[in-house]
Amino acid sequence: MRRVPRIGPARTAAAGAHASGPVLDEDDGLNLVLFHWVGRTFALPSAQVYGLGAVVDGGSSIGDLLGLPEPEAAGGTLTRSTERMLRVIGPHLEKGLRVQEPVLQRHFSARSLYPLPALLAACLHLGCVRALARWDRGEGPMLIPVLDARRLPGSRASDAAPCVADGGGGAGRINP
Amino acid sequence: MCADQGPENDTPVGTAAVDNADPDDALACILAGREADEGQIVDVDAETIKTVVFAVRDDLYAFPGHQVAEILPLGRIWPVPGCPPALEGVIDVRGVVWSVLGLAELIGAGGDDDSPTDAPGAILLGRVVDMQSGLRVGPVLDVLDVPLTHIMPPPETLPEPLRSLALGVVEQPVGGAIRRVVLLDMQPLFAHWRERG
Repeated sequence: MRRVPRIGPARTAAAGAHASGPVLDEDDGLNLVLFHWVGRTFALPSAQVYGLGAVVDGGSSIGDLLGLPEPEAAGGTLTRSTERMLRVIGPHLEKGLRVQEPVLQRHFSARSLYPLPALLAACLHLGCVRALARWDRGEGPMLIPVLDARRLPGSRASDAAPCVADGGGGAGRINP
Repeated sequence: MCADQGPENDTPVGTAAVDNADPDDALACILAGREADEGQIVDVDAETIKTVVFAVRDDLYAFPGHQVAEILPLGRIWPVPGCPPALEGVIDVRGVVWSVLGLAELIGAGGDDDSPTDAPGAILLGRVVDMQSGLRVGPVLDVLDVPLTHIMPPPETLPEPLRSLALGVVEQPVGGAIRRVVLLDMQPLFAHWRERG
């Protein structure tokens, strides 16, 4: 089985050298940085990730930005030691973005990256969700939302109207 | 007497009418009655529509068969942040990603509890014109051929948004009992959602 490399600051710093745009490898695939929040997996193009470090005060969590429940609300027993701070391009470059471990870098072939289904794309309220990646794990494939760090809202989701505003349906609710 | 026997005559053939008939004409009466009966069996060649009948909570619904590309057992649905409540996520079907809508929420049949109570359910892969999506429903109960003449217009009492999505209502034998089945149309269902985007 292919070993999934863990990323560290040095590795992500190297990926950050290509931060001018998405990097297509020889097989037209893409390196993605996978991370977690309350049991859910998300991905960012590695070219948008400058580094990974310890949590410092002041950064937003990916849960805040996407309107996901806080770990405590979800019944989790999260401690700061299970969180890491991602330095990503866009509005969170300076303060960083809090995510949960494990944080992995993995290569995805072009065939395992999918555009959003049309109906979903039309109804989605988060412009930072760009695509889906199919991750073939041992226990079966999973579909991971691929985010665009440049389109992440600049503050907590509750304050970020352009990214989470309800289009009129669902009585103002959105799925977390 | 016998000549009066016809489809409009409610008198059962072979009982009172025949008993009162001339014995010499009894056979003629019976045969006339049989012809009248046969004349009523016209549904055999009636135009029908294939329907996929399923449950959502306690009620029965159906989609025209030509709008359902495939029926899948309910499996893992991967959530996508930022979706409206009825858009539950995505699934991978042999390398093709489909969005999944929760039909209960779309037709206003969802309860306060967001968790599906109609499990074990199914996912119908729906396709109309240029739109497609999966639809999470309750158990799929049957695939029925329904004569078009049996489809009644949606009753005024049908609540919105169900009424605007309904092609009609049909009474069908399902599970040993005659049940009301609301025949839905995917076209306005999907169009409504696409326009909202």
